[in-house]
Amino acid sequence: MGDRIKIIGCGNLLASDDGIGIHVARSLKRYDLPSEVDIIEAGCPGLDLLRLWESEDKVLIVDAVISGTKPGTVHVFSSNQVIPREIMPLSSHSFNVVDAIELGKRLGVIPEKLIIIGIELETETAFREELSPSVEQAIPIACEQIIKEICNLKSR
Amino acid sequence: MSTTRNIRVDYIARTEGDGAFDILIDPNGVVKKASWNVWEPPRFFEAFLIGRKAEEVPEFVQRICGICPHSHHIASLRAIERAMDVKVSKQTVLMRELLHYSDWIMSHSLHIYYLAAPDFLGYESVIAMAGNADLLPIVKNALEIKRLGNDMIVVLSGQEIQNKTSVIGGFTSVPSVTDLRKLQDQLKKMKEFAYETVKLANTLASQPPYKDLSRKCEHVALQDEGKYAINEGRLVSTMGLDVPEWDYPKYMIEKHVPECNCKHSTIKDRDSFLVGPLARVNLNFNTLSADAQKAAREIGFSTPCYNPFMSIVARAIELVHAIDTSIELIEEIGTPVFERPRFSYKAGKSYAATEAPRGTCCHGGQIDKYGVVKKWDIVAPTARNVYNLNKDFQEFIPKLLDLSDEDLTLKCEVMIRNYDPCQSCATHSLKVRLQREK
Repeated sequence: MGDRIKIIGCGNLLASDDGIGIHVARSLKRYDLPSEVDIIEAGCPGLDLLRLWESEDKVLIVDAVISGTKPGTVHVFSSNQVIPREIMPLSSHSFNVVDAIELGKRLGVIPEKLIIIGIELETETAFREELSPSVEQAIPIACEQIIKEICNLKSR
Repeated sequence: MSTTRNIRVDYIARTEGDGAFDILIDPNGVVKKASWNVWEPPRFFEAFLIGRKAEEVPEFVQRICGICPHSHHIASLRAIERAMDVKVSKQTVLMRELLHYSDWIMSHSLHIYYLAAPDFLGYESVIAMAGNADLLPIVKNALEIKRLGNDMIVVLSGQEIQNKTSVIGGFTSVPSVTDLRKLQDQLKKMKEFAYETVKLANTLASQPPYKDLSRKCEHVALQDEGKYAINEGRLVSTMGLDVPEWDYPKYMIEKHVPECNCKHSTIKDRDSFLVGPLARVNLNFNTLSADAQKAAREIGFSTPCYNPFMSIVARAIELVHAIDTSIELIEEIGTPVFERPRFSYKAGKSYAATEAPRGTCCHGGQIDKYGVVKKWDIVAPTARNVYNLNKDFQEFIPKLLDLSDEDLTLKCEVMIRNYDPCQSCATHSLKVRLQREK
């Protein structure tokens, strides 16, 4: 795939702030992004992430995190880091992005560059489509951060 | 045993939806309470379908589930078509079967490898399982076979999971023969792995204490003429039930019970019953594909089998059958021809059933002459099994009292996962509480 950069937005739009990854992916489309960037909305992919990132070298995942920091805080992780499993939201079969990274590494299905943009949520209340104001205000901050990461990935 | 044991698991991983189980054992080892309670909140599908147009129903109900969308979708389609007297072509019947088998391949492989195998092998999850170099190739193939199910759905329906092409009267677009042939090649490649899966599943379920745990109960499934039932058939059982599928509300009785968001089901004038792969294999063994039957015989599987832990084996046998049948269906469909789906509104009432990966899935209701839904009934297979699982607890736990609380809790979780429960369908994660009285 060479120069392509894939951005995967994750989350459940019906569980309030859990949908932040999708909201960010949609907002990104309003920015003037380099042509090599693909944006996809993945919902709650769990281990299907392996399939979404196979044959990709450069991938950015946008998802909610539950780490206890101030809601709306934008975290940046790399797949080379040890990311605490418990801070990432789970799919319906109790798998999350950390599981997908771990399994991907074991199976040799892992992008060379994999960055996770995590946005601290305030609430995962089900059956609510709105974001909390604290989390909503983080959308432009997360988008700016992603654009910085895209620039970094491009220069490599 | 001189103490009261109480096992309660409030969240069970690797199941779909939320539920809990609660077990109370008195000082004499008598199980005073053993219950599985689905606390996934009701989703009110039946209520919000009222007032909708008939063609919206199959579209809505496939949103009930991300693993078996087509079980719900096709059951509702067929109920509506029968109510409004809509006939469909042979090609539509075949394509619906292929669509539904893709759900089976995806769901069965997910369950066997990701949800159940780690239990039997003593791993916390499939990720931990992948840490074992001997098991790594299995995990790799498991991912591939599950993906094949996804790919089939994409070819047939234009997107993953819920489909966009199947409607009342047929399909709004048909796949190309080239795409179908590619799928056929992939299916042929995965066949051997599926065949080996039967042996692996049998090794897992043959471990003590599972191999000695049997409980005779009524097994219920659809039975089709000349083929393994998936999308239609008569409702039959190991205790002589043999009725048209549309009569299910008369024979499968539901009642509300305290502490559970899911109703309990019984067969009229009898007791709890089991639906799912084991019931199907028991009732319809002769119509399984030749290689599925061969795989079953090779491991010494004989019917009827009343050991619920053999469900994983039945699921693996069905995986072989699903692959074989999908290969044949693609052959039979040949080059699909676009046929414009047609129907007109007509007042009517009807019910229909399909065989979802986890068992008989029932839909039906009443439509007025303007095509507006007046009433709709949905009973997912997990709901049928909840009461039967409670009975398994009562039978098996007294035989497992020598185990530590930790081990007994794990065995209870395995018992629950035998049913491949989908608690979000049933009305989501599971809780187990074990208590031993002093």
